[in-house]
Amino acid sequence: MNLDNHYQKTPECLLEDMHGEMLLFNPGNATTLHLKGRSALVWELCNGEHSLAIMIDILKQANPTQADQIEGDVMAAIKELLENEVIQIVVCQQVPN
Amino acid sequence: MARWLINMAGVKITVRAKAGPAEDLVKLALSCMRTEHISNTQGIELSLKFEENVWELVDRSNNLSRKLDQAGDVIYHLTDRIGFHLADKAKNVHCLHAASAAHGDNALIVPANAGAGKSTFITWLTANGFEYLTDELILIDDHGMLEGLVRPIQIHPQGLGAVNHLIDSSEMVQKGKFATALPIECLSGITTNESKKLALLVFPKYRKGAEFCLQELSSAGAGMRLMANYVNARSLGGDGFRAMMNLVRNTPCYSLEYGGFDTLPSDFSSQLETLLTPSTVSHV
Repeated sequence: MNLDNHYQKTPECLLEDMHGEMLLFNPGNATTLHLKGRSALVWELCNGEHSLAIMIDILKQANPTQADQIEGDVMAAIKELLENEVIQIVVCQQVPN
Repeated sequence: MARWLINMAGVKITVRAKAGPAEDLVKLALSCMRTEHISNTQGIELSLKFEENVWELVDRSNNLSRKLDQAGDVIYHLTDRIGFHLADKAKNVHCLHAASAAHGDNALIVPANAGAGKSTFITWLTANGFEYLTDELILIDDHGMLEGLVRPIQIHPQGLGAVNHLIDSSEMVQKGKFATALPIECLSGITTNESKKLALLVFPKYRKGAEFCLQELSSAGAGMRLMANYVNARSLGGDGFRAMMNLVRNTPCYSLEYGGFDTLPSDFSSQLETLLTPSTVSHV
């Protein structure tokens, strides 16, 4: 997984707050995900602006005592979100010199 | 030649049968559904004939022809085709792969995949005084009013042993290799094809050796389980998801694990009736 990649939410996906727990639905493939723990935060950070490395840094700063496991958690969350097509990799246009 | 029209949720299905054994078997399969006799086919046509000891079920809309030699399997496949077309074409309702039974005006639904014990559990409920609505498919609107595909209960071979003691008159049972059909009358049960209000969701899991456990589920946990049994999720998209989440938020949801009917508490049907009574129903 490339740490420089940026991710954005698949636009048609819907999020529902179920008494504090998040369920995410992708109408494109009719899959539903239960965003547990850090998955919900990773989903929020997938706004196209942050690289994967920056997302990991943001979560490490917010949870310094769990810094060791955050990278793995974020990678696993991104993998699951990509597999279910609820996020997409942002393709950056190269500006010609 | 006899024809029955099933008209639910904007879907018209005609079942046509040749006079004789085919007509008698269709009559039994559809005996609890809301149907009317018609003289010309309307909508989708399913036809059944019985010749040289073989049943032939034809669904022209899908170019499907099935030859069967046991009455239970005919009922299974015929009602399966009816359920398929309803789920495929129903308008303004949500279709759930679920069994359902009612007490008074309120219904509990039992969404589950094949093999979870939904049909055997609904057989037990029916034999214990609940009104049978369906063992397979419910159609529910945004306000929580539901009706079921009221067919004979279909029990797969591995589940028969669990329900044998609930059958009062075995001569009405229609045996099959794939599924055995239990008309409600053979359980001395009652049934209805009237709309009922959703009041309780129970997600069952039969596990050999398990002790009885009835636990309230979180909204998110129930939402995930309900979506796994939401048949027209793809066609209704986001609107359907939001409607299902509203149903879950406003309805008590439980998981039930059990290792056989002998592991259920003796007052279990009363417990469920209490959960279904208006004072405990929070659905609006």
